Amino acid sequence: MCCRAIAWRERNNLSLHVANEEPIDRLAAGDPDAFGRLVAELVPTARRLARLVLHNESDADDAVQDGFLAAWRNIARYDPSRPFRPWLMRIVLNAARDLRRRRHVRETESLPFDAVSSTTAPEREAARALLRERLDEALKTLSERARLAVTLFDAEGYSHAEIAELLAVPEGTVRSDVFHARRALRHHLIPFLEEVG
Amino acid sequence: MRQLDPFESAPDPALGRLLREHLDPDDHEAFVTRVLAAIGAAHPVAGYWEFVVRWSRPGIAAAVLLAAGLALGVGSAFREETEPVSLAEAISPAETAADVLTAQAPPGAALALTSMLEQP
Repeated sequence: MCCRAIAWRERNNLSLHVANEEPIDRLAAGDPDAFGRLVAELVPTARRLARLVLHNESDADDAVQDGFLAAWRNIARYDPSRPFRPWLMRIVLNAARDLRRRRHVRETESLPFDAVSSTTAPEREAARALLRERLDEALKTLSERARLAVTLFDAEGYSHAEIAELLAVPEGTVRSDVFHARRALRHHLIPFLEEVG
Repeated sequence: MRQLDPFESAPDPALGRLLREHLDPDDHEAFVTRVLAAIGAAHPVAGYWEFVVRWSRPGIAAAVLLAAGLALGVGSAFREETEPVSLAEAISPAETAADVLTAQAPPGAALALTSMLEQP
């Protein structure tokens, strides 16, 4: 991973090389405490990724739980010589895709976002709600892989190599996905951002 | 949001923050508690196999001992049902020539023929 990505993660208080902080042999031996600490650290990222696939908070949480359980049951299959986070996140993504197949979740189904702080001014709150609506629309124009790639890179601080490992695609494909996804998101968002200041 | 650069290799903090805010659900702590409870109820496969391996050797040893005990028991039961026979009794003929000659009924054909065949 490049130094800039590491510094960025540290600035944004995102966990960095979580697996390196836990003895790998304890994880591989199925130590519930070691795994529990990882769960606590990786849950936010896992929930955001699952939501990109399922577009539904409740389904995304079910998928994340399924994924973590599957990882725990199969912890003996984890190869300690490989990075832990992409291994775990790939299981979570597979669980989300599997749940989508089983429940026939439609791409258009989306819960409204209601995380806007109640302390903001009404105009600002309305602008933020509109921004999220635009972002939601923009994300829907992207392929699932591009959505995951740009979120993992820009929001989660994963390196291109880690994303390639997670999505099982070449690193060049990840770079291309991130570039095109950013262009599409900016195309949708910049006019709005300039409008609202 | 920064200007688009195809060779940009660093994350865009503004876009990243927007995405995180957009996708972030509430109450991670409650969800972590839920997941950890589910994990606590589950057993890793590794632990299961360790359990099986740990108990396989004593289990096999116990099975061997049980089988040996059963074999000894069955063997001793059979031994009690039959009377012991000495070597002399085992190799002596059931009926001697004198017995045949002094019998009131004539011997069967099989016994007579056997006697003839046994002659040198």
